Amino acid sequence: MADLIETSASAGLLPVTIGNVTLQDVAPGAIASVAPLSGAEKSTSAALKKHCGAAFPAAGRVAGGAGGLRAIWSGRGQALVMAEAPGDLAGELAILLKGKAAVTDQSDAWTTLALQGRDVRRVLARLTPLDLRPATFGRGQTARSTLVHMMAVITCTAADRFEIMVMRSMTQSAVHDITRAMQGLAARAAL
Amino acid sequence: MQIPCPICGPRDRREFYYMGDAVALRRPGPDAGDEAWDAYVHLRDNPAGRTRDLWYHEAGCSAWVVVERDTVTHAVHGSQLAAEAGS
Repeated sequence: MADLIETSASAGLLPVTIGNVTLQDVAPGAIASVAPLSGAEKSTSAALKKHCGAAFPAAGRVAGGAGGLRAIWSGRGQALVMAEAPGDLAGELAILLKGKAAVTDQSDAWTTLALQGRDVRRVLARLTPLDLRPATFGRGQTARSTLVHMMAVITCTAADRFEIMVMRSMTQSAVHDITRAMQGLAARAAL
Repeated sequence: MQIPCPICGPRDRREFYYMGDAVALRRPGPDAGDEAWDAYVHLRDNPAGRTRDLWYHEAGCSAWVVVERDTVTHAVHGSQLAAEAGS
């Protein structure tokens, strides 16, 4: 079997620290989108819960499962199931959810960037129209929105840490825009 | 300007795509006759007051949403999923 080499779309660009905020790459692992078929929402969720430990997440929520597995809500009737280790997650889920949900391998479709630091919400506020106040967007919450002109999945994983998922082909643009916002904020603070 | 999404809650207008009057949800039957089809395709009301529009939450949850707004006061009165709005 071929020995595949994992490459990062942001290689050579990250990590970057500006001011008190750091942007870094998150290894993709395996990603599969799960879209329950009409009327099979409950049975899909039950099967996911039984085999992965993570139920199908409610809108705007993340469900944590066993062994670092996560299910991130990613739109109406759709969630991204993510494993930390690469592998045939989509193939396994397709067998598990046969007749219940549409499963697609998305492992190489997304880039995940982690943005962390005291001013993380002030950096993000320059990039997305989301209400980023901790009371409305805290740990375990996620949103589909825009990052400048890109569609993105933005997830709060800690009070001062967000994970931003964009289309993998948009990685350089995302890194450019996020670092520009970090520079702008740090420049204002230095005045 | 914010638009209430039944799934995501109030969201910025930039996440949405505007599709016009919610007339698309009242599509006549194939045998409804020329008059009904002419009205469906060409004729639109221009109300001073409440009206219903279709918006697509393009950069959000991908839901089609019917938003009721007031053309006089610009107030937004609420929204529901197009899938559940019926006619």
